Amino acid sequence: MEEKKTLLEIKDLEVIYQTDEATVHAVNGINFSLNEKETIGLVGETGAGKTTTALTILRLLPERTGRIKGGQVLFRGENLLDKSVPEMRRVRGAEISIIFQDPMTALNPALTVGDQVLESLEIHNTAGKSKQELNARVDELFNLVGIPAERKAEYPHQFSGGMKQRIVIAIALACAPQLLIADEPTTALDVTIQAQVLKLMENLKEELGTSMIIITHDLGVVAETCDKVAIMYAGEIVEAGTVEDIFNGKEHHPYTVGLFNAIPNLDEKEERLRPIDGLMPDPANLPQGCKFGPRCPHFTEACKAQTPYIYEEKEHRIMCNLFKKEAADE
Amino acid sequence: MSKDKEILKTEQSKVKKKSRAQETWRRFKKNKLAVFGMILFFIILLITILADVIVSYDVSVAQVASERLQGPSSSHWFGTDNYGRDLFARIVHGARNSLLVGFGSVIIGVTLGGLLGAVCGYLGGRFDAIVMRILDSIMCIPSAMLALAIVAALGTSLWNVLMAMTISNVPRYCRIIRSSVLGVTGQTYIEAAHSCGTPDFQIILRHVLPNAIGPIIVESTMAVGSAIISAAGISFVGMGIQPPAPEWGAMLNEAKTYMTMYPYMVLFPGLAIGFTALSMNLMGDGLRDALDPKLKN
Amino acid sequence: MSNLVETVDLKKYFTVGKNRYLHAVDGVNLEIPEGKTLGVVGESGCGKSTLGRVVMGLLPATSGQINFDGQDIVSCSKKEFKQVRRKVQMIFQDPYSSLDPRMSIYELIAEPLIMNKVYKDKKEVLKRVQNLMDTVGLAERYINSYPHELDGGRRQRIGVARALALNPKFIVCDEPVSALDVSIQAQILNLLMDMQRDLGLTYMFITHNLAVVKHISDVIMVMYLGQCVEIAPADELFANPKHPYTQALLDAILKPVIGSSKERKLIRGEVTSPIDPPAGCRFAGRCEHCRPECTGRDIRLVDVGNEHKVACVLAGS
Repeated sequence: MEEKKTLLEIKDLEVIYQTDEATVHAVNGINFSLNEKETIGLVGETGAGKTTTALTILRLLPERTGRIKGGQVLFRGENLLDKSVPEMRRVRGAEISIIFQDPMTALNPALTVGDQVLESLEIHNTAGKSKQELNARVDELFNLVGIPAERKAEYPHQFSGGMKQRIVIAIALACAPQLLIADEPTTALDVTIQAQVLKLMENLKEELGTSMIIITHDLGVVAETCDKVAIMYAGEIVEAGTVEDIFNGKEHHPYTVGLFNAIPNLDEKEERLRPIDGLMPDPANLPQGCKFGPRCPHFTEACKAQTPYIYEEKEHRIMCNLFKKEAADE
Repeated sequence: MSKDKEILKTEQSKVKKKSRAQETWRRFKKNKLAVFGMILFFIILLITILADVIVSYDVSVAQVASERLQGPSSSHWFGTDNYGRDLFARIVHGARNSLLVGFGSVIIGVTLGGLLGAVCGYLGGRFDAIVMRILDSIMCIPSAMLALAIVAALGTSLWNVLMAMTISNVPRYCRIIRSSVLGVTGQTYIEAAHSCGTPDFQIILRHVLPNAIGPIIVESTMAVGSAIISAAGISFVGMGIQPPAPEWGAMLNEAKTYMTMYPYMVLFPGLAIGFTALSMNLMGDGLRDALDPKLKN
Repeated sequence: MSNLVETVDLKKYFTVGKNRYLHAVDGVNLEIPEGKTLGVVGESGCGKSTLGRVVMGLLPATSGQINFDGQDIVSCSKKEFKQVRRKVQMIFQDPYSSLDPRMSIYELIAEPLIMNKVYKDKKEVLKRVQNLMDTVGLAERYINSYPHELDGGRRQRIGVARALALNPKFIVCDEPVSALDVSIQAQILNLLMDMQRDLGLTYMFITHNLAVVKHISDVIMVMYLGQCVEIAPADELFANPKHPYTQALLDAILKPVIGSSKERKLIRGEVTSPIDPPAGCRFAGRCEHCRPECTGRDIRLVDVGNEHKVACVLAGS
C-alpha cells in the first residue's frame, strides 16, 4: 500500500462563542486527521459542533462572538490559525472550499449561473489566464457536474434544487481545491435527487482526487461516501475510526449505539423505537466528566469524576470508560 | 419520555401566571435607555400640562420692542425673538400645539393605516388591490402639498391641520404594516391557528398584529419629530396655527432668518423637537424589544 | 372495520395564469379505516402536503368528495364543517415556524380550547392544558416558557398537545419529524404511536422519509405529481414494489450499512412540471420501461391482489 500523505490535521481544537450572557463551548478539544484523497464524515446531531469545526478550518467564524481558544489546524503542515487575513483569503476557494446545506440560498438570484462560476475563477486567477480560457473552464465545470454548458446563461430560479446543488458544487470545484468541505450537502434534497448528487460527488472524488469532509446527521450518507468517520457529541469526538470500524466494528460508544438504534429499521418490524433518553446538553453549561453521561445507560460515578478513558485500537478511538475495565483485565 | 415524567413529578415548581402587561413592563424596565426616554417624555408631558403654572401665556405672546433679539440671560432663559417675545415661555406654551399635532397625527394615522394595512395584507385579493391602488394614488401627491390642499379646503384650524396630516400619512403606515403582515401571514403558525378553528378576526388580533407590530412602532416613533416639523410647514404658509400662538415648528421657521447672528433662536426650539423625538425613539425601541419574548432577559 | 376518512376522485388545482392550472392533487381516492395509519410518501412537489391540507379543510377542494365519518365535508355547510373541524386536527412539519413566537406554551395549548369555547371556566382550561402537557411528556415548569426557549423535540410536543386538545378522531401529520434530530425523532414517533394506541386515533402520515413511514403506517400510498401511483399495506409495498417509481424510491434509500447500495439504479432526470400535465403516466419521461401505451391515456390503479394497487401498464400483464 502506498504511503498516504496527511493533508489536514486538527489538533486539540477548542472553539467558543462568547456572548454577553454566556460562553458556549461549541468545540472542546477535537483531534482528527485527513489524508489526501480521503473522505471523512463528521456525524452528529444539531449543536454537536460539526459546522463550527468546518467554519473554523476556513476561519469563517462569526467575528463578534466566535473565538478559537486553542489548538491547531494544520493544512499541509501549515497552521491555518496563524495565517493573516489576506493569506487566508487566498486559501479559501482556491485550496479549501465549502458547500453549504441549502442550494436555494447559496446562489445569487440576480446573476446567471455561468457568471457565478466565472466569478470564483476570476477571484483566484493568479496565473493571469485570458477570459477565453476562463470561459472554457466554466464549460468544463458544467460538464463535470452534469449540466449542459448551454444552460450557463440561465438564472438560478430556472433550475431545480438538485441542479442548483450541482452548480454550487461546480463553484466549489472551480479552482480545483485539495479539500472540499460539504456541510449537509444533500439534506435539502429529495431521496432520488440525493442519490444522484452523492453519486456525482463520488465520481468527482475519484476523478479529481479531492479530499472531502462531509458533515451530516445521516448515517446512510456516511456509509455511502466516507472512508473515515468521526462521531461528534457536545463538541467532542466520542468515537472515530474507519467506516468499517463504525458500521461493522464490535466496540462502540453508547452514543453511537443510541444513534443507530434510533433509526427505524427497514428490514425488521419493531413495535417501538429506542430513542436516546433525554436531550443534548446546553453547550453553555456542559456536564462534568463525560458529556454524554446524563443520557447514558451505562453511567457510573466514575464517568462524572473525570474525562473518560480513551480506548484505541489501530485507527478506532472511543472515548468511554466502559472500555477501561477490559484494558485493565488484559 | 419516562424521564420527562419524573421531572414533572419532582419539579412541581411554581407555576405562576404573569399577565402579558406585567411581563412586558418587567422587560422594559431592564432597558436603561428606554427608561431614560420614558422619563424624558414624562418631563416634557409635565411641562406641557403645567405650562400655565410655569409661566403665564401672556408672556409668550407679549411683544416687547425694547427686548428684541436678546441672548439667553437670567430674565430671559432662552433669550427673545425678533418681536421681543420670551422664547422660554413660547417653548413651554408651544409644547401643547406641537405635541398635539405630532402625537395626534401619528397615533390616528397609525391606527387607521395599521388596521387597513393589516386587513389588506391578511385578506389579499381584490380588496387589497383596490385599497392599495387608491392609497398609491394618494401617495403620488407630495404629502406637504396634500396636507395644504386639505387645510385650504377645510379651513384653517388646529384640528384641520391634524386631520390633513393624518390623511397624508395613512398610506405610508398602511404600506409598512401591510408588508410586515404579508410576512407574518406566510408563517405556518397562522395555518396552525386556522386548523384549530380560530376565526379570522381573532387570528389578526392574536397572531398577525403582535408579530407585525415591530416595524410600525419604530416608524411611528420616528414620525413624531417629522410630524412637528411638517406641521410647521403648514403654519409657515399661514394655514396652520395662527400667529402669535406659539408652536415649535413655526418658531424654528421664523428663526431661520436670524440663524447666523442669533443661533440660540434655532437652538432651543430645535432642542425641544429633538428631545421629544429622542424620548419617543428610545421608548419605542424599548417597547418593541419588550414586546418580543425572544429577546427576554 | 368502517372507514373514518375517504376521498373520492379528490382534485385540487391551483390557477397559475390564464387557463393554466397546477394539478397539485389529481384524482386521489383513499380510505383510512378507523384507528389505522395511512402513510403518504413522495418527493417535494408531488402534492402530498396539499393533499393533507385539502383533507384537513385548510384548502378548498376543486372537485371530488371527502367523507369524514360518513359526512361529505366538501359540500357541507360552514356550520357543519365547524363541527367536523374539531375532530380533524393537524401536526405541522416545522416546530419552529408553526408556533407563534409571541405566545407562551400555556397560550399556545389553550388556544384551541378558548377559541372553540370548550370550557367556561379559566381554571378548567388550565387544568386541561396541564393534563395535555402531562400526556405529551412536557414538564409543567415549561408552562410559562416561550417556544424559542425550548428545543425542537419539546416544541413538537407542543404541536402534538395542540392537536390533541379538542379530542380529535383524525390527525393529519405533515412531516412531523423531518425537522428533528434522529434521537428526538424516535421520541416523537413513539409518542404518536402511544397516542394512537391509547386514544384510538386515526392518522394520515405525510413524509418523504421511507424508513419512518414503514415504521408507523399500516397502509402506504406513493404519490407522484398529484396522483397515487401505488398503494399497498406497508410490508407488502416494501417487499414487493410494483411501480417503477416506487422501486426507484426504495432503491434510493441510504441504509446505514456499508456497501448496501453500491449497484443502485438511479432514475434519470427530475420531477417534471405539474402544470397542465398531458394525459398518460406522469412518470413516463423518467421511466426505463416506458412504452408507447404509457402516454396518451390515463393509467388507472389496478388491483394486483393482497390489497395492493398499482397504476402502471406493466402491472397485471
